[in-house]
Amino acid sequence: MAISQAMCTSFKKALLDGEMDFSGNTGQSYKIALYTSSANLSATTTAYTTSGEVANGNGYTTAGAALTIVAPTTAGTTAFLDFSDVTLSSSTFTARGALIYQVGGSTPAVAVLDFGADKTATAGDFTIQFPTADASNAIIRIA
Amino acid sequence: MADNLNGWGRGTWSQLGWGVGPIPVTVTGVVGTTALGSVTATGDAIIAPSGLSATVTAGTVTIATGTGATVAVTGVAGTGEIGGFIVWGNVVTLQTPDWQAFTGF
Repeated sequence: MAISQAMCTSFKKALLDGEMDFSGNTGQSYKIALYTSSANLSATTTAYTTSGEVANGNGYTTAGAALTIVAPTTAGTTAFLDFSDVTLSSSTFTARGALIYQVGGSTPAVAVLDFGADKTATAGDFTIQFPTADASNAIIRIA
Repeated sequence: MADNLNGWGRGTWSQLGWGVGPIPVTVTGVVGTTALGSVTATGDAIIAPSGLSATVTAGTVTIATGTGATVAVTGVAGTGEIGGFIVWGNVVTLQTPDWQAFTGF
């Protein structure tokens, strides 16, 4: 099993199909689910899965935490979007990666995030800090 | 409760003879009701109540400060590309041909 960071291929198609909307007036919502090292996530992931997900409880709720979208913008020839940082308080668990996905329907995948190593919180805050929202670092970019 | 009386007049008329025995006396109990009256204090009185004292023994409190984790994730990028295309039209047959090999875009 492995977690490989990627923009999911199905997400690229969903963009062209007009099925993904991150605009300021979107009616869609997105979540970030956390996974242990036993998960198998990559560019081929098409939807949210419970396989390998961090167990419910101890600060984490299965299906993940809601994301607050910072509406897409552009810089130069790159379009990008951002999410507000997510903090799960009073957490005691270990996560190795995450999946951003759209809530509802078939819960289509957006992107797989690889934490690089197991990250553990013990009775503390588990914070997912998204990168600087610019053309070179934003969490989701289309160049 | 019983007691005895002795001497003259110790009994009623013709009760006992001279020098003969005591007169037994039987007394009944007395029932009384007591009540405490109210107390009125006059004059200046300074009452300095002493403070209440209590001894509190606190249990052991353990505060778990915990250890948090901050994950600084990196973004994912997609590259938008435009595919190649060919523009063509009808050949003007009246021109003098100067065609060249197509070298692509």
